[in-house]
Amino acid sequence: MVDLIQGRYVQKNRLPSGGRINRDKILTFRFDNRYYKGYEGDTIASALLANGVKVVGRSFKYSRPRGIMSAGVEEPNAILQVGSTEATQVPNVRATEQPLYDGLVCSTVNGWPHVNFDVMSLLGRIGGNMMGPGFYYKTFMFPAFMWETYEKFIRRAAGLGRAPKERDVDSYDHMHHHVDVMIVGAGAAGLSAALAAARTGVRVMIADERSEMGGGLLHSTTSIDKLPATQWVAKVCHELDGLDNVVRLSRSVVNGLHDHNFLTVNERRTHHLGDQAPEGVTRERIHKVRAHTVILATGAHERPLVFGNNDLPGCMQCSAVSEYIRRYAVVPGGSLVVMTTNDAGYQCAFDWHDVGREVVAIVDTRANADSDVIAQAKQREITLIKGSAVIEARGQGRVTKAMVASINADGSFVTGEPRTLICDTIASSGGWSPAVHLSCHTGSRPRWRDDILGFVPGETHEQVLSAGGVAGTQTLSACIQEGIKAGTEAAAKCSNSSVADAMSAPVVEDELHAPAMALYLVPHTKAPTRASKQFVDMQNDVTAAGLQVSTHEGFESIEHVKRYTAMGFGTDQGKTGNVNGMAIVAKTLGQSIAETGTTVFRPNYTPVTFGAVAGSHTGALFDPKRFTPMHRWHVEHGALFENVGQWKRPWYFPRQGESMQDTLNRECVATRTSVGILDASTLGKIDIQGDDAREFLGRVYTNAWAKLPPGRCRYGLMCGEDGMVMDDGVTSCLAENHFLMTTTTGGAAHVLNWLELYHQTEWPELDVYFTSVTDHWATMTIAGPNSRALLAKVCSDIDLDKDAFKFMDWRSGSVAGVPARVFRISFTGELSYEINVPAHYGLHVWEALFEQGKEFDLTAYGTESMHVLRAEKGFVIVGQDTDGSITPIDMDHAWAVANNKPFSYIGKRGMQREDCLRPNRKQLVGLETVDPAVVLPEGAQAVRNPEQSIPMTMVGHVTSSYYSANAGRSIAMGVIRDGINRHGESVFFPLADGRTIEARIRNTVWVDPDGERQKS
Amino acid sequence: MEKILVSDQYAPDSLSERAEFGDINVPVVETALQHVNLRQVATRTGSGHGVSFSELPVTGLLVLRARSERAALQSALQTTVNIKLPDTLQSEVSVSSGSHKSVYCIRWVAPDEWMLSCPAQDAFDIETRLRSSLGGNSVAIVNVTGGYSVLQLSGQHANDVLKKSTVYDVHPQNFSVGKVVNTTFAKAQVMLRCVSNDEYELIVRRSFADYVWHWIQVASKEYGLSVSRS
Repeated sequence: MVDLIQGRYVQKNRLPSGGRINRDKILTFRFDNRYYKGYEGDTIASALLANGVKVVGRSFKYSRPRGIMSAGVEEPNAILQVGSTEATQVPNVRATEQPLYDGLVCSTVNGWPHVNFDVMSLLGRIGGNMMGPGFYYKTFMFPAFMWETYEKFIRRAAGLGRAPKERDVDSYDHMHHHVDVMIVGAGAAGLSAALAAARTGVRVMIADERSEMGGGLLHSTTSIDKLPATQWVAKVCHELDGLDNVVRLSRSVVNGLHDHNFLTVNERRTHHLGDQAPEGVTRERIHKVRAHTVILATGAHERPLVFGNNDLPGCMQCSAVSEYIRRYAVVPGGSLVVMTTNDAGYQCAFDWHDVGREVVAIVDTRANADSDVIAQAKQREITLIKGSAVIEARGQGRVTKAMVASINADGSFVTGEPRTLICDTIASSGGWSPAVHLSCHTGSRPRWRDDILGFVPGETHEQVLSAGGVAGTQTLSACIQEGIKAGTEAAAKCSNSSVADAMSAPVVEDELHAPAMALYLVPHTKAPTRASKQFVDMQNDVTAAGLQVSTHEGFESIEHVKRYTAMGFGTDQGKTGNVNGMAIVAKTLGQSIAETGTTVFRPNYTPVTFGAVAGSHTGALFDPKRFTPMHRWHVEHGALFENVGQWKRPWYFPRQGESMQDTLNRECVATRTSVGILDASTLGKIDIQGDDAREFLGRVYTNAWAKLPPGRCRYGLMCGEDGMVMDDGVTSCLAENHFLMTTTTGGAAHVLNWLELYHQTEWPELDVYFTSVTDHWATMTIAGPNSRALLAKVCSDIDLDKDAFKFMDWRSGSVAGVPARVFRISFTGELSYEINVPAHYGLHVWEALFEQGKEFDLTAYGTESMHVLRAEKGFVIVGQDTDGSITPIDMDHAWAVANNKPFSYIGKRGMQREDCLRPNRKQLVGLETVDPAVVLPEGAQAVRNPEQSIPMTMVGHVTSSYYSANAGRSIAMGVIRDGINRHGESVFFPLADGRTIEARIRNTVWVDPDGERQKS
Repeated sequence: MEKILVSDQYAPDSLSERAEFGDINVPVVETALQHVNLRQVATRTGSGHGVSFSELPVTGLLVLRARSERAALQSALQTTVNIKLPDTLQSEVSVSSGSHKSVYCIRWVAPDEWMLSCPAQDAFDIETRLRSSLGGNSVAIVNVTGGYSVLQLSGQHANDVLKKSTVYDVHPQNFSVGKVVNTTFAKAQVMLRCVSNDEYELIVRRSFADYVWHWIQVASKEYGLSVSRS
């Protein structure tokens, strides 16, 4: 901020007094490389207008200069890039909503190199007439291969902001709320509703997008209960803040109203404080609110009128002019022409006049309106031109003249000669469009009301009420009364106690109103296609002529018109233009607006940053990481980790200077020659108890369980209904009615759900209970010829004799002083014990084993060596060697299928399907490369004839492939068509790099085929 | 690090005398967050007191399941630990004689499931006594002492941290003292109990404890987090 001018700084459009701004707090900000000053309480828009900045952007298609048009969320033009550093860039910020803070840096999002000198405007001006609706579709469609080139240019020329390239420095979070009554919008109706509901004691939340509650009351001249409106607002807010049952959220946009009254509210917690949130505070928060009843008090957006060159900077909404004058003490110009179809439009002329600036004329499109405002205009001696309209604005980069002409009664044509009024601001009001957006999010379609010339919320099956402007109500007293009624009614729905005293309505004196005129497109002396551009949607440069052309080209559905012209796209989603557009389309097609209907309103009401959507679920918290009780040891011993589901499993334990293959060779050889240890805690473990536990197992596993005695374990295969292998694992009989099932690490949750599903829906009569004990047990597998000797050193109360404690037995006892279950099962083919101890003892027992295992050089191995070791023994991994299309028969596990069980089992019927019984299915086999040094890539496709021309007949693929130090060669498994019958035959694997690897089909067991090791 | 008696087994008939070993056979117990060294963390923080966090020592936890034999379980509990089966979504606490601290707490988990907590060294004994008291009734009891980490969250902003973490309505009006729910906690699962005003118990799966602890640190940052090792 080097070019700060000390002392009083003149903001030429700022009034010397008034407004809801803090003049003691001067803020400096930068807009497009120039420094300006504003006050606390300003938005960027009000500060820019105060400084006389006219052009805030260039339009999307024609690159026309654009100025600030509104003062709120509906702003189509003043869309800025905000952020002083790369990391804090925020695109598409509405200048009308962004509070000013000291040091704010912002710039226009489109327009290159500068808004006031734009090379694109040349194309816009010359090419403008050629860029009709559907221009991009028509021009850039062909040839198709050029699209990528076109796209780059289009994006650069017309981009709306850019994402930051650096990591966001701020954090975000979410918060859940459950309330009885949720009120959206804190204008007169919303505040009244909140107060009425809150006084009954029900849980109330009220949210409003602006920094201050009050809505239009903040710039209103009326009084409520003899208080100025702003004081009434303050009083209500004060009362609400004193109530425990009320949550009042400012700066919080309700962006979505989803099914069952679930609302998403985006609170901008620190946007008013600076570029970056203060330490410890999240920048934005999404409140996820579940409400019994929702009251929509979202108000209405003023519709600007559509006339020639109505996009010139200086053309504004009437209500925005009032808001800038009264709320921000900013008069956006020197001389004003007002055009209005209704009484509300007069107020801005009065406000403008009352601060001593020139009102050139009020142009009322109605010929014979009779209402209080007309008398007030006369009282102020403001020129009133009735039955006329501003048909065109003129000026270079800014309004300098308004062309006014008389029009006929329904506004369809110009009746008189245009005359010129000199002015720099044209405010227009075409009436009010209720902000029905939220009411439509759950599928309700809005309803057109001719009497208020707007769409109001339609029928809904949700508990949603509307009050005030959104319901089409246009007088203050009625808004307040509706608010009170809705608040009372909503509270009554939620509480059983009837409300003793209904809140009485404050006293508001309404003025006499004359009906508004239905006018959207102001007529011109020329047809729309020949007149100066009459803009409907400023952000997407959609003109009245464009809409007419679209309908002539056959786009008659409003949804098609939207997509063809881009009307209603963009960050503002057509908040100001859509109804005008629909009216123009309706007129062109000779139908009513009700028949034309609206496009679909979808969440979000305003753009939401990705940060807010992600909340705290980022970085390390993106997905839970699960750790075993021995994790710390693994980290200390240099393990690299592999993600298995959410678990972090040691992958391998490299030592200094080892390659991965070196490590695997060492781990695998150590295990087969002495003893290795694996952390198997992640295996799914399900405790099964009940009189029918055994019967249940027989139904979910393919093999038999009737005769497994306590103390014994059995391998089981689980299939889906389709007969395809789903999971496998060892289940042990703990007692007659008590079993422990193990599942794959990744399949644990699914298998438990599966068991519960079948128990609860198919066989509820079976007496059986399932309890996950995965986390309860720390599981460590010691494997290798020395495992018995090692176990003996830490366990003296189990008879480890090979005949007393056989392969597939389990025993309970103590290991390292800890109660343990020891299972003599093996996934390596070695003599092996799986030691299970309660998790809180896991690290102790693990360390005790290492302490005692020194003499055997006990070696920790990870999942990768586990894979190699099990593949050496031909053990499959469900999910790696199977893929949901493999039956137990295909897997060569016919031995694990018992078809003589008295009750059927899941998958039995599926396996009998014709396709499962046909020959030539892919079957699991071993694959022995002719060259023992070559390791087949997993996933490589097999062909029988390597000479066949492409496309070759593929007969299977490799599922597991490793180099085995124990076998001294590569080993692999795969699925090959008819493989079980083709042992000894060759298959070929043509690779992408041009090599073809030959391998012979064989059985899957490479080490100890007779199982002598595991039984030793 | 605490040392507690060895007393965990699933079936009474499998009990055998524990042999005496040397040093390595004095079991060392680790809670899920032992490695975090919360005591040390506690001394580092403490600037704010909006939220207070602690991990309880290893707590005995028994899952009890009963459907048609509910009455039998009820009476077995009454005679064994003098506690009644709680109503839906509720917990019951029983205090041992001479102590003000609750010793046993039983939580309703599902229509046929309860979670009983007790001092860790009593879990096996209680399971054994419940089994003998139940006789042949088909009631499942599973010792899951090692499977969970028991966390405590308290302080004036503890409720706000819960609101950031769970979709359940934790407003005191709905989530009153004694109430228990199984719900989500960020992307983990939690058995959540309102112990007293502004004091909550979170029972989370042991393997998720680090995630939950990390989450709580982030969620309570704006309120000030103090850590205590209870």
